[in-house]
Amino acid sequence: MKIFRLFFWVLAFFLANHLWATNDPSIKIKETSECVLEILYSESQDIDKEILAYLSKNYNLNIIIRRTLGRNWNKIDSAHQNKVVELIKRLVLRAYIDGMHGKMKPEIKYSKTRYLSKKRAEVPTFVYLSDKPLALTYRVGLVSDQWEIFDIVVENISIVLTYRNQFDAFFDNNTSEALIEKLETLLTNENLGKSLPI
Amino acid sequence: MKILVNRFLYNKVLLFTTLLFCSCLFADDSNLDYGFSEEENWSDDTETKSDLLEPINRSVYHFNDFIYLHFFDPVTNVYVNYTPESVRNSLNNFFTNLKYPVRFLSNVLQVKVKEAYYESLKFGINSTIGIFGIHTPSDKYDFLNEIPNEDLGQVLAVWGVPAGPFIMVPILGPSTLRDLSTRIVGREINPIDVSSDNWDTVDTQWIALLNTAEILSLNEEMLPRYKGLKKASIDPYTALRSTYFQQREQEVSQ
Repeated sequence: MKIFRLFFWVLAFFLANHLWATNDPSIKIKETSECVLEILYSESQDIDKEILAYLSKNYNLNIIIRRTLGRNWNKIDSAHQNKVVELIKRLVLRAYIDGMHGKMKPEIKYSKTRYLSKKRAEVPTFVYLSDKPLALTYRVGLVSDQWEIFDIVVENISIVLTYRNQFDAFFDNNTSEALIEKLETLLTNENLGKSLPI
Repeated sequence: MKILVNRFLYNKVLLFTTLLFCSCLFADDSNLDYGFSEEENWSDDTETKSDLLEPINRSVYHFNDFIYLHFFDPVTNVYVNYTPESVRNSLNNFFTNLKYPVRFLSNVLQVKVKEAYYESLKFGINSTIGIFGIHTPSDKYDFLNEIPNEDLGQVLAVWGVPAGPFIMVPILGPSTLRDLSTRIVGREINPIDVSSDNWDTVDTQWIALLNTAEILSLNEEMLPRYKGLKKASIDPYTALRSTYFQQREQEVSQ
């Protein structure tokens, strides 16, 4: 009898965990966005690193990066794959951070989550950096019972699609070494992102 | 015997539940593409296919880039630094209001009666209470702020006219054959664009001044975006083409 009771509790635990994980993805996005804004408008010296660490803790960022590369993933030497992922992660993060950065801390309004299927949803938000709101939509997918961000759409422009098209064109004539060089140049350019409204 | 059967059933149930949990826990992790379908991970090559003139377009892009950064940017900086924000906003509102005929006609041609009516209402309010459109009292009404921005290119798209090849137009930037042709037609109904046939009958200096002011007003918004896109892009030409196609696709679908 004891074994059945134990089994029941284990089942209940997994069921509760499953339900918790599959609830409205906007809850987690709201919490994360608010924390990112806190860091962004803090006096921290290393904002990028702190945000990256915080986001990595809450989301599997490799998903969005792998999606920006799409089929080009196989064109990257296996020895370079990790480095490419890290560099693109920083580039995409920089684009996101600069999009959220303004003279004053923006106000974010969250609209109702749109469920496209059991495993796909969109969380539309409006970022008020000035009088005119910026439409920013998070596309999320259920991966291992967690809602993970797989694309960010700013004013109808998908970050994943825009970068993926560039990688497609880049790999027509270049190698992964050239990509690393290009990404490092972009990231070390001190002007990058100073006026980057994605 | 009964104990044996129960034991057998119990083992079966345990094995089944263990397998079920294992499959739930590890199903997605075992997939290197994180459960995304091949279609979701592959890009649509419509853009590449429609860029038949890519070598020429890339040359025009480099020419435009030079013009934007060496001529337009310094002039726009002077305009932004020496013109009060309120004046710049008013100028922007004025030009947006003047494009009402194009928006109205585009709505009518798509049989969007409600939107055409709202556009007229917005134009009426902003042109009168808003003093020739320099103020936007219509902003107080949410339903007047949510009208999709229509143009003649979208009309042709809705009518089923294909976009045609991608064209990087000198100075004007990315376009397609369909959108470029509607720009020419749009000149006939835009109050500040005058077709060459009517040049003798209008004060060309006045029109040139208005057009310059409009370009400055547009550049104030577009140039920071362009510079930002360029700085964060691995291939700025492809990034510009991609953003153009995505933006147009969304506008047409609205």
